[in-house]
Amino acid sequence: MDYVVSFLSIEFGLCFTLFFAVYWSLCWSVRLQNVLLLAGSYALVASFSLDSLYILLGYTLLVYLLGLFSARHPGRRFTYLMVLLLVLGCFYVFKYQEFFVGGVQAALADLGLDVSLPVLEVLLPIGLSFYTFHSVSYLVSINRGEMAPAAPLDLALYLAFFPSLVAGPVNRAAHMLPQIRPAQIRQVLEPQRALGLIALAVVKLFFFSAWLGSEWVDPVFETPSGFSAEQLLLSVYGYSLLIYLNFSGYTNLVTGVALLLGFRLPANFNAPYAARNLKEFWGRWHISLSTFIRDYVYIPLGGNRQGVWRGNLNMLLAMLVSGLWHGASLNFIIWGALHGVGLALYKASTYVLPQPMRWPGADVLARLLTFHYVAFAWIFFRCASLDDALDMLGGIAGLSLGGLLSTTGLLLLGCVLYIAVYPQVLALLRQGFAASSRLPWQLYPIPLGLFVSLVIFASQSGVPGFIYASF
Amino acid sequence: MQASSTGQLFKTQMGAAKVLYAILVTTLLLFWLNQNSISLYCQQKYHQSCELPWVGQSQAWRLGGNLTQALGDARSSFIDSLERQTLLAQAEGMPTVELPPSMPVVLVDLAQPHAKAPAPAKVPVMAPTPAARPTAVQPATVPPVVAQAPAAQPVKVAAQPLVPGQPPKAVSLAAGDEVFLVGDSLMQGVAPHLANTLLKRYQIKSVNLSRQSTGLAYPGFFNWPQTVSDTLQNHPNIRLMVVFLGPNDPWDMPESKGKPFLRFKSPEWEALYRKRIDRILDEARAHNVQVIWVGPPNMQKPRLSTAMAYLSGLYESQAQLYQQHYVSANGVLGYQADEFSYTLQNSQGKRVKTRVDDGIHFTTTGQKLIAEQVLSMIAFPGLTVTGH
Repeated sequence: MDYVVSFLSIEFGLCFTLFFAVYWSLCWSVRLQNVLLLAGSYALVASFSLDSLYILLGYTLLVYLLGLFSARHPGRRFTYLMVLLLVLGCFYVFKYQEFFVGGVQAALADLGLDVSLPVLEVLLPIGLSFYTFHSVSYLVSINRGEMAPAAPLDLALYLAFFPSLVAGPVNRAAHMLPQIRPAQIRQVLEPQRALGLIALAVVKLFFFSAWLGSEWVDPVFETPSGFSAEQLLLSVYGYSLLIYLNFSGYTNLVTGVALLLGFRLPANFNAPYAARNLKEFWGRWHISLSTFIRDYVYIPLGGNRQGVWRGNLNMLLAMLVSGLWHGASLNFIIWGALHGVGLALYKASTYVLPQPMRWPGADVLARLLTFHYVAFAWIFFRCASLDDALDMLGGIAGLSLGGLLSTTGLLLLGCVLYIAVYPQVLALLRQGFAASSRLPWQLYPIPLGLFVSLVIFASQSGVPGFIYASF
Repeated sequence: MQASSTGQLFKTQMGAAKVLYAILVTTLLLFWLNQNSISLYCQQKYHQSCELPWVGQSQAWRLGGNLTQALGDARSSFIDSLERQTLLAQAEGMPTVELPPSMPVVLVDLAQPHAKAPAPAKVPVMAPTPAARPTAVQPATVPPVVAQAPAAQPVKVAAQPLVPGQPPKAVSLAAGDEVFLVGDSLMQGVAPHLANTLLKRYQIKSVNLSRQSTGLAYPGFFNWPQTVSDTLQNHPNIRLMVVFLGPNDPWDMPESKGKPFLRFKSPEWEALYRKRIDRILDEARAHNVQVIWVGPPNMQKPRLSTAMAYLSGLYESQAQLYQQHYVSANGVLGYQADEFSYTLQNSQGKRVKTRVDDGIHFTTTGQKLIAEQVLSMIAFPGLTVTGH
């Protein structure tokens, strides 16, 4: 039983085709198109649960009023405080209540105090993690005097825009609102690239991540003690590839869908495993989130303007916030902390090893080191509990030369080689993708349909769930 | 301004029309080639056959499905042939074929004179003492079809009441035995906890094939009886099978491909469904495998919940008929009769959340409780507990 709203389903495909036809037949009126988009987005939320819709509506109203208030009293600390209160309040009530209450109760119980704190039973509304961030960028922009409050319907669409509602990318008001109220009538943007992106998403989601999940990753992460050290390591490599393919595939899909509707979503991935250090990695992974955290958490905390130690502390805090945002558990916090510490270590290393390093092999080594550190952190991200993660690590510690001389060892070598030659592979793939976009439009759908059918034929059946959709 | 905007409008509409053309052609192609899997998907999700009104039976339309079908057949026969060749090559490398030493012996002859695996029955290998697993012997004496007389069963059930908290050791496992986990997304949540504990505490391996959206209603989508048969054939060390499914099944279902749909809870439906349960239990008996059948718990939605109670009745009565073991998840979660709750009061008096917000699946706590209940029904004579 699958309750995650899936954009890669037959039902969504058919509904979208119909929606597309109606939407563009209204192209003479941006206002009508917006109403249709808003109705479609709300219908999608309602199909998940009616409560989610009510919460989104209520939240939109609050943001609208707060926007008006901010415009009247710009630049005040008080208005910033209200924004913070709104966002943290929502996150607390809907996402972190159980986690914090459980933690506090356990801490008090250790001190001998048996306290039962109230917990409201609520369900996490779909898209909350994303539309709260969208609202922050809107309210902060108004507070800084960079824009005027939007009209109610425009704001509602900005918060509810369905392609980026469920799992991002994280939009900015300054980038999105002008597209909601364009100066000219909308056009379908880059149609062949858009369809190509959707096909690419099918390859990444249906084929690669589903296969990796069922063959290399899920069975091993579920019962780590039943597998050899080499198999454990392979599952970690597998998961590192899987989460990239899954999430970037999802981003490709919604980017394609948005382009077909005449919207350009912000870039979210840029070959993250080609990064030579962690700083570069965060410039390439979930870009819209990391820039959001930089602009709305790291810089307001003081950034790197108050000395080295304070700068590193701010970075650690920002990464902890990012970790906690991904989910309410200790493991996500550890994941964030690992990235915070890793970034500080990288920064420290630049004093010893001036960048860029020019000696031969430095590039490949740096990429492999970065990939392995990121993969190490993913163990905590994927495991359900700290114990599970420690089990995994303990198991991997048993790696032996003898064990590496096996089929699994060969697969491990294959993974390492793949990361080593990744930039070259990428260049080739990008050429292929660009070439496919140059096919004449009358013929384009035939190879596209055959290609997608071939991928489905080669895949295991079943629609993969999107990892981020459950956050 | 007016003229330019008319031109602009035309340009936009042409652009959109081109894309619509591309989407429609691609969709048509995808539906044409993938019609078989789409119709299975439709059956499994919407519980009816979704045949296209006019074109559905036309030759040209069927061709697309047949193409994919033929391609799929070609792939399977390619893989089969490759595997056969590899096996042959390996067999040539080995001078003698040794029989697996841990095959169960005594019971096969009794139960099924025409058993598929006669070879091990004739070899008196050192099997673990039969006394270690008394329950395994009993099914052998009850032939599947003649066993309709219910008179003897209540005695047996009364002798082993499945009271949560003081569970009887219903089944037993010895060193080298394996456990087979069968089910849907409910089982997917419970299975890792079971498998982990079995391995860590008793070094007992499991085969976990649980898969979301599966059940017994739509074998075209996923065929559990067949999967059970194949798995028991390929893993002769499996001595226990734990089955946990149901929520995907309370719908109308076709008797077989292309046949009309039987109404849920109709006598025909029930007979067919019982037959499918029996097929699984028959396979278990043929391979001398003990079964713990876990009945699905009450659900948040009343319709689904009553359907679960109905299906649970079928599981329970068939399990009893085969003298296997049934336990309802309701007891584990503290539900009386048809009540539902997201939480359970634990032994320290605190309320812990056992179900997630969808009102169907379990939280980690709920999964662990069910896993513990199943574990508590297993005896491990002669096995030393390690760690944890």
